[in-house]
Amino acid sequence: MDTQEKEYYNSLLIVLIVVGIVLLYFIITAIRYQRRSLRLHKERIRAEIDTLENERKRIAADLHDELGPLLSAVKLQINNLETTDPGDLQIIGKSSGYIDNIITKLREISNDLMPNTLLRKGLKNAVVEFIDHSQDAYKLPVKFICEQDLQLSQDKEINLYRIVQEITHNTIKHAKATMLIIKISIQDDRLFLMTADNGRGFDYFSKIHDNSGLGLRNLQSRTEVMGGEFNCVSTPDKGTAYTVEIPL
Amino acid sequence: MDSTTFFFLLSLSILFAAILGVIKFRKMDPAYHPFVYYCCLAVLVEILVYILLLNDMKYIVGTVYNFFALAEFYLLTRMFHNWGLFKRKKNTFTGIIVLSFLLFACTLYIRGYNKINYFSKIVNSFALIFFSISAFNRMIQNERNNIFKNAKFWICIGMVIFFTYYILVNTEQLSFLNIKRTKAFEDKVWLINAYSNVFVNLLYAVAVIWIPRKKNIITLF
Repeated sequence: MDTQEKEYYNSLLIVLIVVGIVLLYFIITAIRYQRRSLRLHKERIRAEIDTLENERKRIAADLHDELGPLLSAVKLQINNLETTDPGDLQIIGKSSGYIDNIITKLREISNDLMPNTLLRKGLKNAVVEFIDHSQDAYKLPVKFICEQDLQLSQDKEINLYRIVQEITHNTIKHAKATMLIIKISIQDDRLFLMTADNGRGFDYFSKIHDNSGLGLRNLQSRTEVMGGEFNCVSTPDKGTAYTVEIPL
Repeated sequence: MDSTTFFFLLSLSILFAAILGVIKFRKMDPAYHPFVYYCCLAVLVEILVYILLLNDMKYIVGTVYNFFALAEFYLLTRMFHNWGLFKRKKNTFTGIIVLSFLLFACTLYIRGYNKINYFSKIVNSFALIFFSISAFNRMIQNERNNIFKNAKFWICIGMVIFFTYYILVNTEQLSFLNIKRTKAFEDKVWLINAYSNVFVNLLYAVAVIWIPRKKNIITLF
């Protein structure tokens, strides 16, 4: 190499070293910020979900334990009224019927907020109950497949139940599907919750990009809190399939 | 050992990524398939170029590298498209590929078929660096798991390092800069390229290890 080439080569080496150092610094700081933002994000989501679930539990308990007995007492008082007037008897009968409806509705709301079956008998039974109720109310055939026993923490059970609820509601409200299949299985220390419908589908990425899919974000957040992965495959007119994979 | 064999052996470091990619191919997320094709193509091109050089057919090497550069840009851009970098708009992806092809064709016509098309390659390298940085930034914002276990992280870093070094090292090859070069100087410059290539190939191998599995979706309808 002549002098000019040597000078050029040395300059090139210096430039490469400088660029290398800058790249290294850029990568290290990016990783540090990502880790910090990830930790904060997870803490925030966990706090939000915990607050939401605690509040739901409290409202469900208040409705069921305080308003329920109070309404029953009112009904008892009304039925104890002594009258022979046919007009009054008719009013008492109607009021008693309304109170019965209110009590039934209260139980339903309380159960939607925090199902007793979920807390007492676990996820599998709660999902079966929820599906039965949905089929009766919305006439959407839902097939639930779960062949294994599920031993999960209560937090995971609640999150998975909410995910099933959200997906079923989305299917009923938007998909115009004639069939929904929900499958829960455990393979190699991982739990898979998979659903598929034959509805009209949607463009997942544009929904997420437009920020209009709040329900979808909710599904993602709950999966993240459990340390899992959430996938959605949806094609217009070809149905929607969701997969939630969580470590056990 | 002569310099040709030495450079060839260094370039074979891409074999790790290619072999791992082929082994995992059927079970991996299809969005990463173009990356595995790219690694395999790189292995084939390195072997082909070595055979050509051993048989004194240096005049074809430029053509092979030129078409590899074109295929490389297509496959890597396709990978970014699969990752959703262009908002999944096929027109944007097609537009980029058509532009790149037109530039390639024009520069090839001007410079001749047998010479390595550095101008087109450097422009493509800039584009790939920008794509990698954009994908990297999106990943930093959206990734909710350990970033070191993310294949995109290793691929993007590898590409930024490789193409940045490629541009810095090969800018002197552009004819309008008119730099005179001796064989000794070219060998030393190639050595920088070769070492950065080995480093990046190892990053690619790590990336292939972390390529996610195919998504588990029920196909009941």
